[in-house]
Amino acid sequence: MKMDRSVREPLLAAVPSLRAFAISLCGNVDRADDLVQETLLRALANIDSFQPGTNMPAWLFTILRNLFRSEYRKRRREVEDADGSLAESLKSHPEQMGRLEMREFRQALAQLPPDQREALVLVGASGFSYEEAANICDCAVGTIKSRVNRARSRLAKLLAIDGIEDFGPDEATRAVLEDQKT
Amino acid sequence: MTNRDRIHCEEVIAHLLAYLDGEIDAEKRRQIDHHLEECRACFSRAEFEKALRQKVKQLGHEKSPHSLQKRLKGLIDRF
Repeated sequence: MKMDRSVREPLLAAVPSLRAFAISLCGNVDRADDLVQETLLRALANIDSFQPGTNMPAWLFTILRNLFRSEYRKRRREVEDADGSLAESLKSHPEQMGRLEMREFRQALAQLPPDQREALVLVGASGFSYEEAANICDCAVGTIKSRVNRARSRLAKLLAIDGIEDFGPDEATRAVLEDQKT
Repeated sequence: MTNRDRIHCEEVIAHLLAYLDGEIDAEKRRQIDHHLEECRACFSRAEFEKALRQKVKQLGHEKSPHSLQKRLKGLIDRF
C-alpha cells in the first residue's frame, strides 16, 4: 500500500533542511545522510502518532536531534585548526562576502560551538521561529536567541570582521560626523 | 532628523542583529535606517550580515544527492 501523499510529500520536502541540520550536528556528510535515514525510519514507525495539521518539520527535527544526542554525540569529531591555516584562509573583507565560497563559509560554520551552530541552522537555514527552535532543543527562547546572536557574531569574527574597529566610519565619514556634532 | 536623534556607529552595531530580525521599536528602526543612509561603514556591515544570513539560509536549500533521495523514497514507499 502506498503512503498517503499528504504524509509522503512533507517527509520528502523536509529532507534538504534535515540534511543541513544533520551535517551541522555531526560534521560528516555520510553520517548525516544515515542520520536523516534513521530519522525518517523512526518517523515512519511512529507515523500513526503524528497528528495531521501539526508541525511535521519540527517533529522530524526533534527526532533527528534526539537520535543524534543518544547515538552519535560520542562519535562526533570537532573540526580542528591546529596550525591556524584554516583561520588564515578565512580572512576576508566585507566587500569580498559576495565572492565568499560556500566551502569557506562551511569551514567557518564548523568552528562554531555545537550549540550555537545547531541554533543558527535551525533558525537561519531551516526557517524555524525562535519558539519552534527552543522546543526542538528543549530550552528557553532566550537561550536560542542568545546562541543565534553569538553564532552570528562569531561567524563574523571568523571571517575577520571584528566589529566597530572594522566597520566604524572611515576618515571622511568621521570628519562629517565630527562637523555635525559641533 | 535633528542631531539629538542621531545615533553613532557603536549603537548601530550593537542593535544591528535585532534590527535585521525586525525586533526593535519603530523609533530605533528609523534612527538606524537614517544612519545606514549616511554611513558607508555601517551600511557595509549591515550588507555583510545580510549576506551571511543568505549563506546560512542557502544551507537548508541545497539539493540532496540523487542517491540519498532514491534511498529515502524507497524507504518511504515500503511503508
